[in-house]
Amino acid sequence: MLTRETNELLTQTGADTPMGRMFRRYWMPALLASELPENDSPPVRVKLMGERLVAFRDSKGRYGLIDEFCAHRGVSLWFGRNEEGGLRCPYHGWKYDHTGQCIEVPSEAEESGFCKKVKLKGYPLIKVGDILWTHMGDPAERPPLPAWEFCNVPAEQTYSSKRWQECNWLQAMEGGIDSSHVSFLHSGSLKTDPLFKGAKGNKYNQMDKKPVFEVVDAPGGLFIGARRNAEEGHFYWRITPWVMPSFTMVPPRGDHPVHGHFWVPIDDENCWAWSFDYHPTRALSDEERQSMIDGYGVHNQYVPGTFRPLQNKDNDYLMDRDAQRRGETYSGVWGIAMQDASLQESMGPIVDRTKENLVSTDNGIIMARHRLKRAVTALMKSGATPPGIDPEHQKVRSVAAVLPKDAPFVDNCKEDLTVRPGVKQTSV
Amino acid sequence: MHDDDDGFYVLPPPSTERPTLLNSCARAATAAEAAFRVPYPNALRRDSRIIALDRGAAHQISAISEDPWQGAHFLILAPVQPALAANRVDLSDESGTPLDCSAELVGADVVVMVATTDEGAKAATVIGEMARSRGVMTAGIVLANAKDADEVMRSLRMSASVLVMASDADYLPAMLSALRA
Repeated sequence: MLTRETNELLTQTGADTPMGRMFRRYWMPALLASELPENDSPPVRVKLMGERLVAFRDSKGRYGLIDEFCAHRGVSLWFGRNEEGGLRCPYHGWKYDHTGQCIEVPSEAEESGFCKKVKLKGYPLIKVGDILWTHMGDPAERPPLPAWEFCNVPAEQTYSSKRWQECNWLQAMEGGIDSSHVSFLHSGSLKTDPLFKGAKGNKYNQMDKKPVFEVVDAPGGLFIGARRNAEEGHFYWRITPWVMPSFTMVPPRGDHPVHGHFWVPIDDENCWAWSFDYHPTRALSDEERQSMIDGYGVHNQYVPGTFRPLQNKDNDYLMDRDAQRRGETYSGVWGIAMQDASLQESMGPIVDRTKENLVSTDNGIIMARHRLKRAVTALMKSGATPPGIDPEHQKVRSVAAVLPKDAPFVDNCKEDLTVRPGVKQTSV
Repeated sequence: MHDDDDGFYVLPPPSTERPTLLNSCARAATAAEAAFRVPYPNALRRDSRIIALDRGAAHQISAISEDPWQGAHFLILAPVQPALAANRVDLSDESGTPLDCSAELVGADVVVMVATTDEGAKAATVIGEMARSRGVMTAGIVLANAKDADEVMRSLRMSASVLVMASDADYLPAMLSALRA
C-alpha cells in the first residue's frame, strides 16, 4: 500500500507537480511519425501531461509542438491552416511558426512588429525511429537524444503503435513490471498468439506456474528476474528491465521480435500506452508486421480513425465468456494488450493504493515506486538528475535464458542485458 | 472469437443484444463511480516476522522496529547456532531474550529475512524450509551495505521465494510498509 500523499506524488504529472517536473526532464514519445506524414499535412491535437498542444509539420519539414490555442481569442489551432511555413488560425489569420512564435497578425501593420511580442509555448519535436519525441522541460536541461535500441535500428526492423488507455500512467506501467500476472492473464496467448507461440521458453512457463522473483537495482531503474524450473540443475530466467520513469521491456520468446512499452501521461486519468516490437539483427517479416498491424502481441485493434482500442470500456472490451470457458483466453478478453488494459482501467482512473494488499511477489512494483519517490524527492531537493536520462541507461535489453541454479542472473547476463549492435537478443 | 481462413482469430462484432448496463465496467471505472466503492476494510492484519541474519542487518532493523507497524515482529538470528544440524534455529528479540524460530513462525503470514553478509546462509536455508513446509511466504532482502552482495544473494537464493537487492537503506521500511507489515 501507499499513503494517499505518496500516491498523489507519484500519479500527478501536471506542470507544477513534482512528478510532472521529473517527467519533463526526459524525451518522451509524443506522436507516431506517421501522424504527420508530409510537409503541410493536417495538424494533430496532442495532450501530454495535462497540457493541450497541437503538432504540425511545416512547409520545410520542421516539426512543431505548440500550445493548442491561438493567443488572440483562444481558438483551437487544430482548425488552423498549415501553409507556407506556419500554422494560421482560421479565425483572424494569426500565424505561428514551428516554435510557437507568432509571425503574422494581418490586422496589424507589419512594421509595428506586434507579432514579435506574441509567442505560444512551444516544445521541440524530433523524429527518432518511427516516433516523434518531445522534451517539455527547461531547454537548458535538454538531454541527449533518445538512445533506445528499438528506435535506433533500421526502419525495417521495428514497428511501434500507441493506444489510449483510460487510467493513470502509473497503474498501467506497473502492469509492465508485474511479471507474476503472465502465468494467469496471458496464459492462453502463449499458445496461440503468432508473436509469442512456438518458443521453447513457453514450455517452462507452462510447466512452472509459480515463478520466484529477484529484483535488482540497475543504473537506470531495475532488473526484475523471474525464474522457473528448467532442466535438472537449471532455472529458466525471464528478465524485465524497467528504466525510469516509464520504459519497460518484455523478455523475448524464441526468435520472435522483442516487445516493450512506454507509458506516457496524457493527464492524470489517461495515458498513452506505447508499444514497440523490434528485432536487433533482422528485418521484421511481412507476417510479423501484419500480425502487429492486426493487433497481435502487445498491439491492438482500433476504433477506425482513432487510437482508441476497438475493445474498450464502453463495450465491456467485447468480453467473450465462451472463449474463456473454452480456455482460449483466461479473462474472456482477447489480446494481450487489452487483457492488461481492461483490468487496469477497471481499477478506476487513479487506483486508490491505500486499499491495496501487496504481497512479497510484488516487490518489483514496490521497488519501482520507491525508486520513483527517491528520484523525485532528490530532484525537488537538490535538482539531482533522475536515472534514465543518461543514454547509457537506455541501452538495455530484456533477456530470456536458462542458467545453472546457483548463477546470479545479473552477473551471468550482464552483456545480454546491454545493447550490442549487430548481436541478436538472448532468448529461449 | 472464431478462426478466419488463415487461422487468425477474428473479434466478434459488438453485441447489440446485450447493452452496456449502468453498473457495468464502463461506468464503474469513472472517478465518480469510485466514490461508491465499499468503505470497509478488505483484509485482516498480517503477521510478519522480520529476521535479521547478521549483525549489520540487526542494526538496520533496530533502527526501524519502533515505528508503528501493524503486525511485524522483529527478530535476530543468534550468532551461535548449536542445533542447526537438527534443524533448530535460535533467535532472539531485540532485548536479547532467546526464542525458538519454529515457535516464532506459528501464525506468521510472511517471513522477511534481512542480510548484509552470507554468514546466516545456513540458518536461512532452515528458516526457508520451515516456512515453506507451513505454506508461509518468504522474502529475502540484501541490504545496500552488503559486503559482497552477489554472494549474499547466492546464499539466500534457495531460501526465499522473492529476493531483493536493495540499493539504499530506506528500502526495508518502504517494503515493509507496502506489505502492511
